[in-house]
Amino acid sequence: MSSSNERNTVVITGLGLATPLGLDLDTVWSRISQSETAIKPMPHYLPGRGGAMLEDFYPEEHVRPKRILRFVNRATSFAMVAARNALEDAGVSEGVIDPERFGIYTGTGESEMKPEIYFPALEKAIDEQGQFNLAQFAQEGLDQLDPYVGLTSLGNNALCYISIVHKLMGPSNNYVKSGVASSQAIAEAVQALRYGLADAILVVGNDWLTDPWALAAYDSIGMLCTDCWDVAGSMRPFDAGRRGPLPGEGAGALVLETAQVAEKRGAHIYGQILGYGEATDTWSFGAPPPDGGVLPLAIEEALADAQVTPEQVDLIIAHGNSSPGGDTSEAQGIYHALSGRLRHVPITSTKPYTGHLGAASGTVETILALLMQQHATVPPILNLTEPDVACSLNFVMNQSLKCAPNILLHIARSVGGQNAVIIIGKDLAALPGK
Amino acid sequence: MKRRVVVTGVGSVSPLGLNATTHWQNISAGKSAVRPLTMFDTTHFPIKVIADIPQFPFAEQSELSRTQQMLRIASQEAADQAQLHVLSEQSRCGIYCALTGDWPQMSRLFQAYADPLAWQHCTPATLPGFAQRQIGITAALLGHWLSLTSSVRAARVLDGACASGSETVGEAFRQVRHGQVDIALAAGACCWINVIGLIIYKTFGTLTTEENPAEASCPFDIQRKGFVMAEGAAALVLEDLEHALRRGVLPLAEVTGYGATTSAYRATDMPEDGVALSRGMQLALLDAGRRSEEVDYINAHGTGTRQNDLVETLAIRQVFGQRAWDIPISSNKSMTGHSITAAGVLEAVTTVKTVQEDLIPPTINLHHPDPACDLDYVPAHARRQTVHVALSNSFGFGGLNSTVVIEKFARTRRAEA
Repeated sequence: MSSSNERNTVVITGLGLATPLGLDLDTVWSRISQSETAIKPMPHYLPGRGGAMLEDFYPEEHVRPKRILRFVNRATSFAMVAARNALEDAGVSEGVIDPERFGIYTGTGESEMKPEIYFPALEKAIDEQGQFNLAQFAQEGLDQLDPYVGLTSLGNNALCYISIVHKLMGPSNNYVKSGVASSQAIAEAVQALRYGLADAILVVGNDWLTDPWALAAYDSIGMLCTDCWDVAGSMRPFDAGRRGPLPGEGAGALVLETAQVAEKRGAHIYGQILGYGEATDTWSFGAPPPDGGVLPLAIEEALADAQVTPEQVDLIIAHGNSSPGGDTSEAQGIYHALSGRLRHVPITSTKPYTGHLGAASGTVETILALLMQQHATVPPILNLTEPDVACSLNFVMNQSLKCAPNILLHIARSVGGQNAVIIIGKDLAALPGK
Repeated sequence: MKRRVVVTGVGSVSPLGLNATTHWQNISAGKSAVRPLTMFDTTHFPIKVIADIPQFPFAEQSELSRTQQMLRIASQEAADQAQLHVLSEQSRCGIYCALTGDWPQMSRLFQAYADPLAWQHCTPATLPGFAQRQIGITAALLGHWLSLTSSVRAARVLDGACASGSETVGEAFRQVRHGQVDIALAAGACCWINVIGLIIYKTFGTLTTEENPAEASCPFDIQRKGFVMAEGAAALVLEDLEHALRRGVLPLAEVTGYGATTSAYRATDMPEDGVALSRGMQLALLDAGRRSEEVDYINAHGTGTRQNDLVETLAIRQVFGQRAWDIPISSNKSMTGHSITAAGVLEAVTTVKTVQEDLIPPTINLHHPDPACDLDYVPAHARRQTVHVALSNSFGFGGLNSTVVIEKFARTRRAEA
């Protein structure tokens, strides 16, 4: 392990959101403070289904410059809003950071093309028997295709257009389609900044789980709650009555910089990313290990990387996706990772407010964690009234907790058994190594 | 203290062979894998040639997609060579994959067209069906398929289009170098040879419409018309040198540097000044502690689109100055076609073989060199030449450029000149 003196400290200088709770930090925080959830019934879908969508969000009102509208998909338009907000918040308009030293790492979920795009071409390909005819498709259908279908469905569509619009020419990478994707993007950005590969990196997570094709995929493994009798109250992590997650959509973006660069330009510093850790239960696909599997290992790795002792952790932001097996597994994993007094560390989860944001969870929840620090308030886990007996931890319930957590631990997990833990610290002066 | 990172296993499923040895034999013999597209009647279809793998023992009944099956087999080969099955539980292992979502099947699209509400009545599929779509969890599944006894730390999936393969190798290299993991599998796979995959790349204007398979893929030739779509998978095992020596596993080559830049220009175009590409090569050399004078070979991205040929050639001139004309450069894609997310890993495998064997694979079909492309592209025949230091380039849609430095392994690292 490298010691702190041969690697740069990584600080957070800009935050940007595009979530179902709102597009700016103040609105989102005030709605969370009022215990408001963005989860609602989704009228276009079958009854009993809920989710958190960006209401009245029209990409043409938000995507700039307008000429790129036809090249970006819906998930990218969320990402572009969050990215712009974060860059503005950090005060790094073009040129403040050398573009060649400004990188971009993204964690992207749903972005593939939608079948509807092909309908006009398919229409031309139906033969007299009502069957699909490939020759006819090639001859008459192809001309009907949107010429930009390939661009909008590029897996790195968000990375591509954000880098173009904001002139980010440093290192870049795109992690895809899992609940840990944007946590991995944060981790790799931290790695790049620590070793001097860039001065600043924009990290963006975006996803679109309310899309019908995403719902179909999650339904096919019976993951989502599809028969909610009380939609807004259905997402209840760690509660005995939980029945599965409800989908969300949106994006979160963070500007990360080396402490040296941020301090030199006098940037406002929200906090630090102190470290990260990952561990994967390769055997657990679709069935979270009841004992938490290797989650304790991911926590251990993150604490070691952050050079933080378990006793210093003040708050845990749990994955808490409200799935029956997943929450028990996570609670057991946290229990095994921490001993003694630490089992009393307060734990919250923000998913009942935002819905499950999939690949965007890492960045959005890191931002919410920083807002909790800023306001010295930890919101309760919404709808958690009767904790599952298998999840006996110190959950923040019913009312918010007034405290100013200095070191926070964020957990993200995936259906595939991936665990990604990020450690966030607030006060630069009070932290080890400074 | 940075660790030294060595390659201890390679594997591939390529249009030129179902394992890395066969792939290498055929690629060093200058064979072409390009064939007529026969999956369907192409009378009215604009694309006529592909580089597929008809001999791949695809298990139709399997729960795994074709991409997943190829990924698994290539990774297994690399894992076997690196003896991952006897890895100690103390070893920290990472899995990094370059993958991209499969384009929707024509049948699925048609079903959606016939019944737009079909999703609401979708019959419960299976976990494996879900996994085929949610490619982000494939890295975790790969650990399961390989029965890794060591505990897996990071399991990440990258999609940076055509550059992802190199980025995966580069990221795995960095994680081992800085001690995040002791051993890493870097793998890539892609199977887009279907109606939609071909159509998409046709809309980009990057696929060749040439009908004669023998001449279809001709990078740096004035008659080139674009690239040939290929399928395949490849994998490398990267390992901390000390860790490999302790296990008694033989290093095949060493990875010493990685450089990545973003063009921030246009989604499918390269900036014509070549700077984003040359900067990537320079960063990789800097990372490796090598000067441009020390480079013996460049494994080009070499897709055979006019733009790539010109810009890559220009970027090489910018990095190497007068020496650019003395460095052998070759395009594997002239023989294998372009397997998108697998290509960077497959070419890294080829480059490992190149530094091991001191044999530089050729660029085939280069009969009428473009006057603007006047470097030494090793036309037609492989060349016997000592290769200590090699670069492998990959450039992708979305503006990602990455270069990996691969060197011949020596117990004492060759002094930096």
